[in-house]
Amino acid sequence: MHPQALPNESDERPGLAGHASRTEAFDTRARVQRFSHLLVGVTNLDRSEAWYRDVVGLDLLGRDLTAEPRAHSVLRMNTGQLVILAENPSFDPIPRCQIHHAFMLTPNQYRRAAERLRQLGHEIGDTHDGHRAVGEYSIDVADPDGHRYQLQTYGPEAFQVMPGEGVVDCGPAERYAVGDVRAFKTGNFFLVRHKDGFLAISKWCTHMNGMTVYQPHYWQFWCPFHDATYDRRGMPQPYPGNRAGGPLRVHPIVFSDDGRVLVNTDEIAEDRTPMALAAGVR
Amino acid sequence: MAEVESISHSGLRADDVRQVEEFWQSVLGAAHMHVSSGNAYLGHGGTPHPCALLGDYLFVVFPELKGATLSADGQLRGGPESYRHAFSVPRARFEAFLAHLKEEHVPFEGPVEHPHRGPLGESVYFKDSAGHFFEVCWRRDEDVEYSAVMVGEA
Ligand code: FES
Repeated sequence: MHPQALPNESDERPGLAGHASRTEAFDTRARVQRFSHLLVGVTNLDRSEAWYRDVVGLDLLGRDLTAEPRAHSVLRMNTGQLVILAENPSFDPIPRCQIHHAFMLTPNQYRRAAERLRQLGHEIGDTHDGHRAVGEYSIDVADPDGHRYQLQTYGPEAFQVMPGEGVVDCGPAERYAVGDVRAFKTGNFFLVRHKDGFLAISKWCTHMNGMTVYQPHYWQFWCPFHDATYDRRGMPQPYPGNRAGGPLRVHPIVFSDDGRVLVNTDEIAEDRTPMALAAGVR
Repeated sequence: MAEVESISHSGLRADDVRQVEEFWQSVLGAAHMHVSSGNAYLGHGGTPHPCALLGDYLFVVFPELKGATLSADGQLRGGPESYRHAFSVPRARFEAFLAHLKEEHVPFEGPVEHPHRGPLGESVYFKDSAGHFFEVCWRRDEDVEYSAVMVGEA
């Protein structure tokens, strides 16, 4: 699924929050206002301070700046959030498990981080490689004590309209019964025959260009990347937390003189009305 | 300038996911977002995991037993043995937050005052129902304009 290993260049802060969640709403019910800092236990403060500063790229504010009783370093991110490293030489690194934290970078910070890691000889890997949407990037790293982190970003390509593949001939309209959903690989779209006509629905998820699949048991399109779902007209299913960024795009359809369905995958149709059959075509 | 904008989320583990979410909702005001099925990853060992939004931070909770024992009973102030997530409230609302902790019968340590040369003002320390350490503070730099944090949808 990944078209490239690095995001397109951009200094824009990613338009999505953690776990690719959308960013429109702020939860005003929260009693706490902002995330302030993460305190992490480390066995060797000098070694870890250098790693968080030089490998991750945090700004070092200084040592022992808080009431933390053990020796500690305070490092800052551009949003004012802090990482505090507190030294405990007898700290037992936690066993490998799901516990992790994710640093959010701009695409250009991410590109520089990947280069930095390469130069420092770190292996660059992503446990979910091959299972990320277009434009979604993540590198797994572990600090010197084995604390697990993701370095992540969302490139501008996550939100671009994906290129089409010209006009696709879907064959005679009469071949499709009402209720049929046919997936086309060329041009990446579904041809759906509704009672009131045909819709050519793009497979590209409007959250961040994951590729949707049709789930016949649920009569819906589903994106496996962050679970967005859409009905058979490509409209987002109406429930809180649906990551869909809007309806699935539709492509214009024309019928040839001999009743074949032609879908122009290079264009996005403004009008989402299903394309009614020419008179006489059944 | 740092080369990192923020920490966007943490993945934590809890034996009783519902209980920990309820704690975050009632004590800290978290919003339940959704359950991420991890379907794309199931072939790779993914598990369904609820996500909760706390202020401008996202927690992903894995219902699993693996992982470190987080704390000894009665220990309220997680030290360097484990992680501690700290959230800030405006200085003017700090007292009200302490009153809320008392109302909710959440044992806490503090308030502790931080050195004036650092970014933190005062903190209180407590832990949630799963034993994760939390800190709530006000910050001396609360009026400084930093880059905005991307906030998840509730
Ligand atoms: S790409 Fe995120 S839900 Fe489809």
